[in-house]
Amino acid sequence: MRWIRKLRELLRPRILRRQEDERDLEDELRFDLQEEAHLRMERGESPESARTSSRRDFGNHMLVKEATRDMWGWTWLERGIQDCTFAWRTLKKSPAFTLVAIASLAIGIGANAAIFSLVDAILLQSLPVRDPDQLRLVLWTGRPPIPRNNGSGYTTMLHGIEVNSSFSYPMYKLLAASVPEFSHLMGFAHATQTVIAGGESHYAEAYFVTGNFFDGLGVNPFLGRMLSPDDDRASATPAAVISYLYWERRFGLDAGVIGRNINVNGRSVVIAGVTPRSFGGLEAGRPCELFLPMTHIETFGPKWYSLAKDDHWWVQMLGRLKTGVSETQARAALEVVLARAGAGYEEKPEHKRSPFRPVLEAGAGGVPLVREQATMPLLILGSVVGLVLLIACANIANLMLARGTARRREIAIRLSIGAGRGRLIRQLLTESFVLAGVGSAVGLIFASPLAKAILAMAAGDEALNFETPMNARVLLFTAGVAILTTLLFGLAPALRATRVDLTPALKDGSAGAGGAGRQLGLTRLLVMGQVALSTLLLVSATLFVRTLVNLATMDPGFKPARLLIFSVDGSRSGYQGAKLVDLYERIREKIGAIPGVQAVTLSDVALIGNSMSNSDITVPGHTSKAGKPDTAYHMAVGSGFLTTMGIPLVLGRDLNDRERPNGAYVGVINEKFARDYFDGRNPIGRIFYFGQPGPKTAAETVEVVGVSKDAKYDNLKHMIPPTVYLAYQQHPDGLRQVTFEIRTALAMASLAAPIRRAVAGIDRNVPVADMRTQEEQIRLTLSLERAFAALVGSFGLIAALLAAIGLYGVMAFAVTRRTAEIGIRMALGAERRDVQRMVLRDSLFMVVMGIAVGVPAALALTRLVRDALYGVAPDDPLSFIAAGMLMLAVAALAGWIPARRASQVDPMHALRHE
Amino acid sequence: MGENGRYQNRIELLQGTLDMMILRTLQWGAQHGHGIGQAIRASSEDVLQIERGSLYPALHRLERQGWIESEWKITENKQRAKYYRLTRAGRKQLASEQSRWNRIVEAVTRVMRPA
Repeated sequence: MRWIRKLRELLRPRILRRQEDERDLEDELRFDLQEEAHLRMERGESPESARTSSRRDFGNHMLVKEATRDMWGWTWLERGIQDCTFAWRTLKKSPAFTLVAIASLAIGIGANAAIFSLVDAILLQSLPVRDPDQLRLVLWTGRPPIPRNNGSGYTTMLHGIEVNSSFSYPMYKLLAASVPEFSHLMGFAHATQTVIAGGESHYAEAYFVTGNFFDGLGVNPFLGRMLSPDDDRASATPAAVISYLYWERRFGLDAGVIGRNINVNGRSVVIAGVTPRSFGGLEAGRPCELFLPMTHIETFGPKWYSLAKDDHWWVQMLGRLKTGVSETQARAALEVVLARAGAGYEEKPEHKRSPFRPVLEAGAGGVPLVREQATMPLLILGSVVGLVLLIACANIANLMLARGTARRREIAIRLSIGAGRGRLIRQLLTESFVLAGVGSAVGLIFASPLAKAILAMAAGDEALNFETPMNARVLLFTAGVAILTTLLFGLAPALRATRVDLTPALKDGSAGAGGAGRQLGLTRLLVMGQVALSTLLLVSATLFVRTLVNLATMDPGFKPARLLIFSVDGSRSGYQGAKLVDLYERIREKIGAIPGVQAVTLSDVALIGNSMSNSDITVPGHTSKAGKPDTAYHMAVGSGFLTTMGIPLVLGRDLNDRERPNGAYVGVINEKFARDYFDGRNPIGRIFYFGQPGPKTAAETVEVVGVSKDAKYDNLKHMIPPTVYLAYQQHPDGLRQVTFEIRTALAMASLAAPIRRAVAGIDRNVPVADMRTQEEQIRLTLSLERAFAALVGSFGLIAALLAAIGLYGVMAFAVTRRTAEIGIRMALGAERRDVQRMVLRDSLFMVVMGIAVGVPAALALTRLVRDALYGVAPDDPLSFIAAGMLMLAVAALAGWIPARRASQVDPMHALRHE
Repeated sequence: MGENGRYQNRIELLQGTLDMMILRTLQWGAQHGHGIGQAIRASSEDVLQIERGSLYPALHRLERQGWIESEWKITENKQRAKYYRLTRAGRKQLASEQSRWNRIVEAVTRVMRPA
């Protein structure tokens, strides 16, 4: 902010000097007048007449001063300050108006600044690295001829094509060695690790990175050193870099941490350095805590992160373009190498139809997953707060118009004594600007807490870590919004107010003059616009609230009440296969022995946890639809899972702890599975296979031992898929993290400590994570819906309130203006009821017109949020009617008060006043 | 409003010429604003009456440009008045204005010579 300091230096002495100049000018002109009068007296005029005539011939004293002052320079600024102080004085004279205006602006501008600060933090912020614009994410599209049997990464749509993020490690090595268009081609992969440091175990989010990762990004150490290619060798001692936030949380910013050993997934790792505070990996909002060299990944796991196998795809890539190399050149070079890599494999027709090609995406913002999820919600919230601001502007414009009319006399006087119209318009606009400025300042105060609250509310269990400071970009945006709103609500009233027909305005300050009709037309239009926009917001609010209610009151097919859940991953503490099953069984027994626990079971996937496993299946006797293999969701569960979760059994039996590890695999299917694949026949004792049709081994066969009612699986919004519950002890190979589910009649909180003790008593290196009630788990998955309902709901109500204030203002003003007319009507025999009806009809007309415009607009626009709704159509008539009725009720109340006042006009009093 | 418009017309009309006449007047010695106005009026034989709304802005403009400087003095009538005086730059400016003016007058006269 160097220029502000400069400006202040320029300004301060100047203002002091200016007061002196001002006095000098006054003296100079006064001397001129005296001298002139003196001269005239010498010519024989009387002193009296000399003084008057010289003053008359002098011209407009103020204008002479102003024109002279103009020659001093810098006056626009000084005049601006003058105007601002004058405007503030004027505004202070009508505190009610000022308060309403500032409050509505503060809400409108504050909400916009809050949403924009989220947009800035989530969508616009670049990674805190050197030249982020040179970075490109390397992705691919099409059908690779190279098999992909295992992997990790993400799939997304980019410019209408489906792209995938991960490559095999051999392919990464090949590309890194043969594409010189990138100065650095960096590889990375995400995995959660169990860390034991200071005698306590916890989970840490880790990136396995290639040796050129930190050098390529241009991230310098805050402490110690970053990882280098020397660390990324199989022979090197495993070293780790930790993030600043992790260092702060787990190591209390202790500088002695460098060189210390910590235990990661059972292996000793030495801490080499700490990243700068701003850097927490490549995914904005999901900070990474630990960076480990990629060549050591096989010793840490998970096991499908293989360095040698070319069918295990898990390495994501970020390249830095060499200076002067275009994206097209880099893509072409990648394409040549990829084509060569695929040449050794059998090519099927589908590989020809959609060839395997590289795709480059701007990497300045890092991995775009959070960004993609957040774009739509931010767009919706941004439009909502934009509309609220628009309504606030219309409201203030209306109040300003009314003020302009009330100030007709003042303005007429100022015009008639020689004030320029431009000067007056500027003065009125300055008032608007002062309002917008103060409104923005107040709005900014609550913008940051609001942004934080929205983030916390919408992110749910994913504790998104964004800092939303009011940075320069946000302040600039707010200033822009303030100026825009000033023009929006200030310009028309200022132009209107200064277009005064002087004579009638001076003759009578109150009675309706020529301009009044036109002016009421504009205010009416503004009120209708406000009602229309509010209706639109109320309709959206109703739809979002109904979505939330639909989801929150839905029967998920199991009984979430009185269930406590937590997750454990013994695979990161050295347990595998049968040993891991044994660990989980011991935990299950020990928890089952805690007094007050009614039942305990476990599953590899938490219900309503937004994650799932599914596979292709083959059901003998059932033919799948052409081109689409049969699929089923599956969940590996412990003994008594269905009973514990409260999913009713229809046929057969629940899984129990006597399912033998190497016996025939058994499963319980849901009714949907039975309906879809067993065509209504009794499925008990029948079998199906995992995988597509073909020769099968016994290891792929599952025998159906029970049928359960349908229950929601990963997400309340999704349809219930064909699901099979498998006995987890029969599938120890893929077993990793599990969720324990405990049914109890006790207070949930009282179980937390005994459970932690029980797990620690078995192995204190196995941390307990995500302990919460099943109901809390479901609530977390509804956080976005809850945020929408709360935010759009409150903004909708605020909008309706603003519209009501606007309507009230206009009607109250109209009634005051028509006092005389009403008096005459009543004197001529109109009943109070008639008067009341007349005024009410007037306001209802505006409201109905507004709703009539708002409803079609809502019909057109709510379609756009279809994906954010559940169980309610975007054109749901009930929601539209409810929103319309609410708007009507609020507006009727706002219109009723002035109507009542009109009916209480005393005809005698009104006429005498006239 | 009307008055405002008239002033602006005058300023535009007289801009360069008024400045030149002020400099010329000050050639004879320091003078206050009222005196300058009277001097121009007198030497133009009452044809040119300079409005204050043009005179004072012009004086302040010329001072800003550094062609004249000002000083508060006590008049013969024991009153405080602001006196303006030509600076060296002002003298130079006056000389160039003078020759420019002469050329314009000659040229315009030739154009307007009776046919």
